[in-house]
Amino acid sequence: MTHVKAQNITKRYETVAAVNRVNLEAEDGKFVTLLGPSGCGKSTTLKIIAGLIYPDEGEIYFGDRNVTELPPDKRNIGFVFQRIALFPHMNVEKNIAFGLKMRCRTKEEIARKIKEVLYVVHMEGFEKRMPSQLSGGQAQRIEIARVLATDPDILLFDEPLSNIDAKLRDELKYEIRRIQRETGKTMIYVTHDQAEAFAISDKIYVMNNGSVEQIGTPVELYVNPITPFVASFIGSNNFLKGRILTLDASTNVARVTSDDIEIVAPYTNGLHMNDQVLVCIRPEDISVIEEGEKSKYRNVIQGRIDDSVFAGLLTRLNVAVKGIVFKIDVHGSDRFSYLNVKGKEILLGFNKCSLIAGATEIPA
Amino acid sequence: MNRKTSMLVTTSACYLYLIVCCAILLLPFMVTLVRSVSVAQPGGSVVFSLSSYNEIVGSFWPKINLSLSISLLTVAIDTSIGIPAAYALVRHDFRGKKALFSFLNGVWYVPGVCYAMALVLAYYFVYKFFLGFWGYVAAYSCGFLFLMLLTCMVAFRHFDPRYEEAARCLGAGRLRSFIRVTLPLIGPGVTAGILLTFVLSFNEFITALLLAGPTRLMTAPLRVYSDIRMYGVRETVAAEATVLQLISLIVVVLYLKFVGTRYLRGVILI
Repeated sequence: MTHVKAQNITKRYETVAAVNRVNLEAEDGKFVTLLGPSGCGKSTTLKIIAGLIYPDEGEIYFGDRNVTELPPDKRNIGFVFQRIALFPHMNVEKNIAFGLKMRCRTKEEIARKIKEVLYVVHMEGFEKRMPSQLSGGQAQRIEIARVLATDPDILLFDEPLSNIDAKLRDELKYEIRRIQRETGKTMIYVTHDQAEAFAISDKIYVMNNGSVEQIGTPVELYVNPITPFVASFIGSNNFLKGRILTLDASTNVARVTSDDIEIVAPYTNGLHMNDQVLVCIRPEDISVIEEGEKSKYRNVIQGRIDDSVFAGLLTRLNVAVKGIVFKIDVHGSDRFSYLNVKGKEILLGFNKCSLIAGATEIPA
Repeated sequence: MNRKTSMLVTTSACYLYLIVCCAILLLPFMVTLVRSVSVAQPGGSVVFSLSSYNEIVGSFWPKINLSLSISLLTVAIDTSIGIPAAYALVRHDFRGKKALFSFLNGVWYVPGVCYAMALVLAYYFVYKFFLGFWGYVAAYSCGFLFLMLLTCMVAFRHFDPRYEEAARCLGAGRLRSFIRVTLPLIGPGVTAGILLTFVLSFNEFITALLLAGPTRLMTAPLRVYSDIRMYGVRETVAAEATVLQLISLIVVVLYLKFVGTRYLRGVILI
């Protein structure tokens, strides 16, 4: 187990900074994920940690050891690639033995280790298969076994499931989590898939344009996004541009005006009167309510259903409120009541919403 | 005509076409082979005999030996220069990379005789000490380096660097990952370059013709040429030509059997 620390790492390609002053910390035995859209610099960050890319600035520490200048073969890492990187000219056994041979292990030790890691990834009996004879999921398991065999200090995953079909991806992500728990290794995982990141991570770094936007647990990121990008990238959100009207420090409640709509929202950060804010309301936090239920909600607004789309687990309503369209998700058996309701006037109620200070633009 | 008959006609036509193509390709070889074993008797009759092959053993074998030695050394030198150079050219970006690639491709559009003359000028008039056997090796290595370079570059372009990165992350140093992972995977591409360099340098005629004057060394193809000029198309000359063709044919057939045509496709010649 190793504590990984990246300090102020920067990598530029010509004039564009692919990674810009990124600080990252993965504690012993933790599962840390870099989440972001493609081209945000997450894979470059991971490759810098692995030593496959040399940073223009910044330093990498494994424990107390500064590894910035070390080549990848001297870092004792395991790297699982986005596209299967099993050596096509070696069978499964030889692929797994490769890293062990590089470490000058004895034949007996190599044979024992191969058995052990194949057991961990549930792939016993596949020793003699060539990589071309494996399915995508099997190959990815063998690749994980290959890196586990060398007993690396940290495991790095670069979107390992992005080329695998949805059902298997779902299965493998829990498998990776299980392996992490069983081996107790520090893992850094890169993905653009929010659901994947949420399912397996202890801590998530949300990246955009080469920088870290927010660090937190899945719940923290979902409930309290601190930048418009995080609010729009993680889950679905309704955005309203607004201005603080009043702040009640005793109850931590702010009154915000957004055009003709007034919203009461809880706040925790240092907001001031007349500050520009972005109000974020999750579609699932808004309920369609009856007249008599108004008192249960801090915010009640009236709107007209523009459209409804049935999506199996939920029905998504687009409701026009004073010229602004709100997305609302209706769950449970109620979702069947809103299938052909275009034009219907309804009351919306919500208590939860979050405020992002200083944001003046609604994210695309 | 029913469907079955029509299929039969089409298949026969395809086979006929293939046979004609093969015949056109093999005809010169077959004619030479037949000539080499057709020995004229004093009475005017022609009989089958391998005597011409017996006759050339003593005089032609040293030439074959010389040609083989030059070709193998050329292959060895070009491989050791070509692989690292191709790796550097494909993997690293630098100013003028595109221009260099165009220049490398452009080499094939220079007429052989002009290229050979340039080599002769360089190795004879400029480096007079580079005469004889090593003059051939130097001139051939230089002349065929582009071919080796291009085939290796094709091999490296098809090689995904992630395998090398994976090897590095598994603890292999630069050299070990190159030897254990990169080389086996680009191997077929490299052997394509080896094959072409060997066959073409073994049969190289124009450069040899121009170099033979100052060096007084005669390679096997040159010997066949001078024998034709001196004796005409006699059975011994035909036997020499047959041996020369057989060596190249065997090398090519062995390559195609073990590697196939995959790595020859990217080369401009094929």
